[in-house]
Amino acid sequence: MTPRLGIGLAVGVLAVVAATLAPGCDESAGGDAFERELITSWVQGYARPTHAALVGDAEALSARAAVFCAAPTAATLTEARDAWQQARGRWSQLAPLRFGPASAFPARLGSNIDFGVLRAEAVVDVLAGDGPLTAADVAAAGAAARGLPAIEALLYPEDDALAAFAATPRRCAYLTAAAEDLVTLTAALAAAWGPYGDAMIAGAAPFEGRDDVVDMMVAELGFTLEVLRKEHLARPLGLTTDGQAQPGKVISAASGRSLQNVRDALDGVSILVRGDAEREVLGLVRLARVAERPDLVQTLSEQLQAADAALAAVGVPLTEALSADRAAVEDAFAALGSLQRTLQTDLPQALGASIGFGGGDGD
Amino acid sequence: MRARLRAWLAAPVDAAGLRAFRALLGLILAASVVRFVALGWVERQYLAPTFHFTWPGLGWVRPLPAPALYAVLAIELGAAMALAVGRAPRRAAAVFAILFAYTRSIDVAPYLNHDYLVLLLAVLLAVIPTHRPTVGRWAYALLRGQVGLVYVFAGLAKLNADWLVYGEPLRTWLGVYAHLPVVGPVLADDRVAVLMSWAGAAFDLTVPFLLAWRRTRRLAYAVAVVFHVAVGLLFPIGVFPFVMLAAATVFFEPGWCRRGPAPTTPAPMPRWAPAFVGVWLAVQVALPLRFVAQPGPVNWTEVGFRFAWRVMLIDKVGRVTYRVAADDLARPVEVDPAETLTPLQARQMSTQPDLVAQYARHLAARFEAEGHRGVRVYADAFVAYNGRPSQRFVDPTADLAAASTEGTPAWILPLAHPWPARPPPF
Repeated sequence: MTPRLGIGLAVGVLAVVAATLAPGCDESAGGDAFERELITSWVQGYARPTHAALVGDAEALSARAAVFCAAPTAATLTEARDAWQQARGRWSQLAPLRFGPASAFPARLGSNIDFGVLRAEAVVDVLAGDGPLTAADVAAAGAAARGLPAIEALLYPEDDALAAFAATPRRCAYLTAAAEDLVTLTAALAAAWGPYGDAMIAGAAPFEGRDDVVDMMVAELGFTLEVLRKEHLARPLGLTTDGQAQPGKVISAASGRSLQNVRDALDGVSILVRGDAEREVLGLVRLARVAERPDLVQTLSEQLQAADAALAAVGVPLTEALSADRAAVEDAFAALGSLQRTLQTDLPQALGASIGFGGGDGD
Repeated sequence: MRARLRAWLAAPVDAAGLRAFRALLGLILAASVVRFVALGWVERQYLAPTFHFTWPGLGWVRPLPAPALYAVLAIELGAAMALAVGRAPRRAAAVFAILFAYTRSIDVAPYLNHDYLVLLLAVLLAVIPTHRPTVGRWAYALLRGQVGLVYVFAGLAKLNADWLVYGEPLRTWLGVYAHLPVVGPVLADDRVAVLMSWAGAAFDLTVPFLLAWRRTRRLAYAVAVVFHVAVGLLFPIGVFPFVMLAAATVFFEPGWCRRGPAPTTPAPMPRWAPAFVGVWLAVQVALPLRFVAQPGPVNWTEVGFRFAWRVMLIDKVGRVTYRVAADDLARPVEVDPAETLTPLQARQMSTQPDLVAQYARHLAARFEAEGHRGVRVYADAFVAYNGRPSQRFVDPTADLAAASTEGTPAWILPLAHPWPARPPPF
């Protein structure tokens, strides 16, 4: 055999190998059935129904806000607040899904629904205006003046709420307009999950196959924990600054719902990781590469429960707990950190979610 | 004996094989430079980071402004092309080596074994007179020795339980391809990972010898082509397979690519050549072996890991956060390095202790510059390694701003789980 013949043979073998591997790039040519089932369950069992329910919650909030403004009493205020709580809880449950339609430009629906820590001056500016106030006006006022935090600020003023609404008639106009705007935002988000969910199931653009969808979900779960730990607890605790508590950094401070937001978000994480038989959602732990690691499955389960228990153990709203029960908040922070570590190290490694070469390999 | 060795090294041989290698490498390097720019890596690796991990003694190396940096890459491209066409090849190789060394010295985080190999080969091509009709046998000995050592040390590094018994990390990596039709179930079979691990180790340990032996050379090269291209298809390792396939041609007969009779021109050997060959190869043997002088498993501590051809051996995923304490701070401040590092830097740093310590020193300097006194920096660093449960790998009580980085520092915690979590497939 001459060298050229040898090389020719080798190239021929390679061509066969390449031809065998190439169909893997074409999702229509096949794919792992369970991966498809898993992603389908995420989309059809969780993302779409939960976003649809969020639209229903926003519509209920809008209706309750209208009822309250027509007859502002303690009872109708409570009903409006309950409706807000329901919507806020649902939105928090969707925390692991703040990608795709939620973050896409230019709509940035996620940020418009939930700006994060209330920027009170934005709400005050709108309240200080004059003239009619419609949903379009609220939308034009910017992300900080719309969505769930703004509605919370209106429903939960520092002083007596009924008195605040009575003193500022524009407050009611703002409330109803913001609630109406929220319906528009959530409806747009739910609608966008139609084609986006189809793309996820198919592993089609913007994804590069179903593996890419799973990789992204793993990354998003870790990122969700990062946000919960840092934005919801570390900043209020002052752990990212000088250690002094920062009550002004508490999310949902006015309603006292801060810790419940985190628990709801953790519930969403748990559903995607462990699955939920009632909703027919399959968990990541069902993937073979994870299921082969019973130690990891158990660790995830224990850490999810421990984090929830630690959050539940904080007996008072976060704003108070920062000074009254700081140790309990720090325990919750640490429990979330343990879960985050597992989601960002053990889980991706087990899944091979992104091949984690050593430092000197690959590019 | 010395005279016989000297005579053997000085014996003239056809330089055509070296020219072919030089041309192949030049083309690969030219394509590599274009790829580097086209993928936006100049921006991502050199210009975007606000902090660079520096090499010991090279802290003064800084990225040039963007236009100058792109000019450097353009000159690198020109030098690679000159190598390919044989235009002033030694000067071209020297220019390429200097500029390549400069760009790769800017930041430790993007270190790649194949970049190191490219640098070594460029230096050797700057030394070897490939432009002459013949060269002393020392030139082939040097290149064959260099390429052979890469393979042999890569093979020796694979002789461990993770690789041979558990099939890690191939087992983890190949599982990713389970969804592929036809080959997916095969690749995802854990037993296949172990078999491929053994085959990979056997290939690395034997291929330089089989390439050197005339009777097995052709088959060995054919296997090398299949091996390297298959690895290139399965894993994102850039131009490495092509560099190795080009480098393996130095084992061919010196005139393998020549048409017509071999030249008989004498090739006077430079006086320094024997010593250069000896020192070069001795260093190339010593560097990969330096880990032996250090305690702890090198794949875990990564002390002596670089410049040692420990390729495709480890799968690590890490997460690091820092706590910065100071006399005037009521409580330690938590710092997430991912907020300032690029994703590549954060990822590479999270599993490499020297980089964890270097960033800690950077944080200490930053806090001191902000006026804080008595700054101490602690790391909460966790790593999942080759399918083991994640564990701390840095002592959380060690002040990394002041800690020693000599040898294997005591603040690198021992490996808690001796074996991967999943049992061996066989």
